[in-house]
Amino acid sequence: MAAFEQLPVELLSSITSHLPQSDILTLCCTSRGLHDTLLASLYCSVAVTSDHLLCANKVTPDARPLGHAVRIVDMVLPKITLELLELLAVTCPYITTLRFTHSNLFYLLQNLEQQKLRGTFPSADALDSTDIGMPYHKVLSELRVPDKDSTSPPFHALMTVALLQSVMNHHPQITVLDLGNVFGHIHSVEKQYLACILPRNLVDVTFNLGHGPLSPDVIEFFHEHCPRLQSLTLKARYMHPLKNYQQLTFSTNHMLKHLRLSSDCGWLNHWGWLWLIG
Amino acid sequence: MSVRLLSSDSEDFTVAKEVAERSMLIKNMLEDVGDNDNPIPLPNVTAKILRKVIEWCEHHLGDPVTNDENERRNTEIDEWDQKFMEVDQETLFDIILAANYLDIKPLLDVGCKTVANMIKGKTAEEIRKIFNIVNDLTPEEEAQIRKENEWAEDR
Repeated sequence: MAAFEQLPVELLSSITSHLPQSDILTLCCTSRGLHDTLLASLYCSVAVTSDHLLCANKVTPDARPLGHAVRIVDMVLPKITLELLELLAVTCPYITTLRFTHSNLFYLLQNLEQQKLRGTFPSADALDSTDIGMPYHKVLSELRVPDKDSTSPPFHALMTVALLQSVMNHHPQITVLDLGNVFGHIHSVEKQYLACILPRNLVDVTFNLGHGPLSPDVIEFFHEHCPRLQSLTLKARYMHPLKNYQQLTFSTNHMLKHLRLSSDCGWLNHWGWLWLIG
Repeated sequence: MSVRLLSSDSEDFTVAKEVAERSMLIKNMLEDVGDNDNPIPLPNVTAKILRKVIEWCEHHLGDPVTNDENERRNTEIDEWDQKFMEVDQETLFDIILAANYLDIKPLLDVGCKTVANMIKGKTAEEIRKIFNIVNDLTPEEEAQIRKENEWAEDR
């Protein structure tokens, strides 16, 4: 004799994994038992809409922190801060999916960059005593602004890599990542920067290359760097017009099922691409 | 090659090996014991449910294995599976439990999706009716839960 309420917790969670949060909330309202069992499933996917995290300081009925149930986070707040990212890292250590909007991460990076350039970013020494266990601040305060005339990479790119590396260190389980437009006005997205950012176990990536051109190299690079990739979505201001496309060879990736590419320029440049993807 | 399976109520089923191997549990057992003619006991599955499960495995024998999370999340169920899942609720839950025990992931997914579709868009009262859930929350408590988790309403 099986009844809905008597199903084991893991099966109830499998069922709710096919439901939007609004339906899970309705289920939580049907009885005390289901509320207690499914509250963690309800918090599996959350949106960050304010500086206050929904799950902060809340616990499940069996006294486990609710933040530990969070797997999917949509950062929809237009202006995110370093403090918010740190709070997220502390509250929700098991995130597997992290999505930014096209502008909020870029906004944060720009702000931090300006703080560094103006020299108003607190130094690592000053932070050590107060912010133990909050490495975001530490990593960024230790980052050096390169000399203007040196050949080192643009500061914005260094900043991006440092910040994203911190994100990955705090959330090592991430497999789905939507970075929006992190590179913004930077014209060339160098492959080695990307290499530092991306963990190899990603399965779904959405990435905005900003002003950088979208070339077969980039796709090839993603293929090689993330062998488990199943879905890749790339956006760019323009796509590299393909020449000699018959000579191009892609390393085949049987895992990849979805490939979406888009750019702002007319698709006349793209017929080579269509041939390639088709 | 065929394999013998023994249900909890001692009914003996003979099925093709590749059909039985849709169950990861049985596949692993067969690898462990090697070839022999003894029936595999399945103490958690009745003959009625085992017959359904075998029917499903036979129909889906040639299916490709999918690990695609998007495909899995998609709540659409193919027509044959929809018909297959048109059973009374108790049988449906028993199939889900059996699929879980036998470790047949795609069948488990179809079962869970079927239940999810029964819940989708319904009110709390409608869900209680469908699944015979006794409401032990006071209207105030129910309102409180809604209020505390208001964010989930439009997500």
